[in-house]
Amino acid sequence: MLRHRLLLAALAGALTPAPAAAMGGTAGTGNGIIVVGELADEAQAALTSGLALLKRVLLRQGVEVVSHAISVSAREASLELEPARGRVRTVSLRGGRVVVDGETVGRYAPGGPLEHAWRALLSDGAAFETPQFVVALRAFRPEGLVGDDAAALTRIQGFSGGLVGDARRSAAAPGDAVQAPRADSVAAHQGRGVTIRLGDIERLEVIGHRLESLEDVGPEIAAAVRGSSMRLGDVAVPAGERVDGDLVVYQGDADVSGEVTGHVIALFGNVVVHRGAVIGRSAVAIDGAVRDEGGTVRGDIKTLAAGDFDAAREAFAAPRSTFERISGDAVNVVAVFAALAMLGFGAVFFGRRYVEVIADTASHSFGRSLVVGMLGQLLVLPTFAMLIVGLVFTIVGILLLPFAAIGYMVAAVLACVAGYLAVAHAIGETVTRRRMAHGAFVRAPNAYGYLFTGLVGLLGLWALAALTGWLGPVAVLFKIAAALVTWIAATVGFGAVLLSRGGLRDAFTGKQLGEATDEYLWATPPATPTAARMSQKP
Amino acid sequence: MVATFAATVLACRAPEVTAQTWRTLTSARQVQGERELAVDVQYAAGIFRLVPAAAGSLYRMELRYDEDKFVPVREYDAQRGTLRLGVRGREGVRVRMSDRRRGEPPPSLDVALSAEVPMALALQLGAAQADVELGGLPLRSITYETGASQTNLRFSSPNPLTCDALELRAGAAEFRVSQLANANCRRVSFEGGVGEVTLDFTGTWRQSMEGDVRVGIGSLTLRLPREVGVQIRLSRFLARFDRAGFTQRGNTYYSSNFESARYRLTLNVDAAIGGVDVNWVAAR
Repeated sequence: MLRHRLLLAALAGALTPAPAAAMGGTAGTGNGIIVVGELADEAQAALTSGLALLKRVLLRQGVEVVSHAISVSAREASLELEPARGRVRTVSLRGGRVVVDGETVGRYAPGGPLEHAWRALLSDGAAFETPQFVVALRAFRPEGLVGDDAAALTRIQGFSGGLVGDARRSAAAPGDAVQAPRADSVAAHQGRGVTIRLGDIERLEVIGHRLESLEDVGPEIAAAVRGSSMRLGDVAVPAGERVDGDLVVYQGDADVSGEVTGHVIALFGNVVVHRGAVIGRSAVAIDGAVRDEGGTVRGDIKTLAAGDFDAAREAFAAPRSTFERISGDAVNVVAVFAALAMLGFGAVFFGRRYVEVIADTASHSFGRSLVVGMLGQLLVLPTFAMLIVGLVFTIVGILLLPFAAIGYMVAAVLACVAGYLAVAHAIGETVTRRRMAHGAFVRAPNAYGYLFTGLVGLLGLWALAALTGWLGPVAVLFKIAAALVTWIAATVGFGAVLLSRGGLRDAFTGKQLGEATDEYLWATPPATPTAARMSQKP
Repeated sequence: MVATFAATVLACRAPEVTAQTWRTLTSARQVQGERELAVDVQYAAGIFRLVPAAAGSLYRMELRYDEDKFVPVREYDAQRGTLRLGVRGREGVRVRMSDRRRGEPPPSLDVALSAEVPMALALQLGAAQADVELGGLPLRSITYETGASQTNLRFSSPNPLTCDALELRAGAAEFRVSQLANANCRRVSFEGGVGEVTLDFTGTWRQSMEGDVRVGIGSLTLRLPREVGVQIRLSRFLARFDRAGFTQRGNTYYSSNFESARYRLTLNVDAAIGGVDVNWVAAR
């Protein structure tokens, strides 16, 4: 993987030119990692001071470049640098072309290793201020490129080298030959796990905050992480040796055979407490384990999985405000209402007769529709399975299988939605007729009005639940009631669709009642409110 | 049959959804001896955050936007001492809030401004959810305008400079300003249409303050420090006023320590419909 990586040791060495050169350091690259061979002692010493050192080292660069801009999209990944003196310069990888200052200077393989490495550099570097990014750019040296990619890299390095210099030149004294990388050095460093991605710096900074929000850890451990020198990679405390204070290890194991007076904390590593070892306070492993091999831990032993951090991240994030929750829920209800209303109006416009038959079936045969709807729901999946099996046994059936499967699922969903809308229509019609029977003036006593009224009634409970979101248990009760009503409406509707064969059969609509009885006539809307009031007079 | 099947599948294929083209832009600039800066930030819709920048940084901007509809604005003029950040819509392109597909992260703008260079700050936000931390920024003046938004504006630490005016304008919004005293402004004004507004006058008081607060429909909560003498000239239509802790003379309300307090806050409050609540709290 050509993910760009920086070796902290190399950075420390690279940015300390004179002493490094005096020690006869060698510098080179390996799989995107810069290695400074004989500077290992100095680098190892630098490693022990952790994040603070890393930041200090990164910021030690002279500010030749005063501004940078990184712009990344699926089409393009570009970088703009503005030197303290001189014009703004840009380099971008766009559609297979390397463009420097607006001119195409080379080509690269889209999606290939160079683009991958370049995007990784910009992605990691986007978290940094300009001097820090300059350090990252100086270290940009992906390996294994061939053909166009290799030529394009030369162009990019020519661009960046002219502006921000080169890590290898900075590491070695003037005149020193830059030697080829030593494979064993790279392997050794990788094996020890002391590499650190640029993105890890941000991770280090948030670890303290996340730890604070973990109940099992608490502020004491979080404070230890923030306040202690952090050591990168595996760290051992030999028998007979004593560490005063806390020992915090990042991306490595803490092997304790001697004594640590404070906490021992391994971030993304293990804590091993060997026989005879003494830890004065707690032993904590984040995304690792604490192995007690006979030592003494005077405090607590705590192990946290990586997943706890995700939970902590959510806990650390700002909670949604009441206003935000209520408005969000209300918008959802309105959106559902609008969607159903549009569907319903479309159904009435194109198939009014069928909608009315289903609605009348639900209204006049409510109990029967409910029972049939429940049975229908239970049988949906078995019927689907039988359909598939039946079709598989014939050649024609196999060819029809995809259409039949999709058609069946679409039909089931349509039956539910159409049934729900028909129930809304039935409710609206009943309410409207009753209002009119009491003399109320209704502007539009038609199918559209019935549907609208019914949907308002059915979704009203959801709206109440949304608007009372701040009342806790009351809102929960409203939500339960709304869910129950919705299920009943959908079930009755589904049953009515089945009973009426999708509105084709009107046997259950009450139309066979023959002569209208008084009971049936009470709901007949009068022509005008005045007529209704007159009809009430003796 | 197979050909028919293939043809049908092709015919039934759903039309391609027009994808948004998201772009992220990160831009940063180092301080280069600037003495004064006029900063203008404009942002139409999305999540907006503003914080003080790290030492040595003049500004830092992280923008996530749909490049088919918006153009980033990033203009720095060293000679004039001006900085403009944000986005503007492309000409002829209509932007709808519903354009974002479900599940996609929202557009956002994160800005960090220097805590070393004195500045006059103007923020113009549209339908944005804003979290703005101005604590510690050396501000000579502040103008904040927002449309339909949720705003959390904080002054967590004192402004090292004396600020001439803090002007706040909000349309339909949930608007909360914390630790206003740390802004160290002589004059504060708030003009709001509809919404829930909280003005918290706690913080470190270094001078007396005057303010105009006009609220249309909604609730206004004033968090007033007990140590500060408060005078409120109230003009209201259908708004209730919580007068606890005040002595009334005509339309003016005085806190009991108004004459003796070291610092005074004089507010002209004009509320139409809603309520004005007062919470008495410690200064810090």
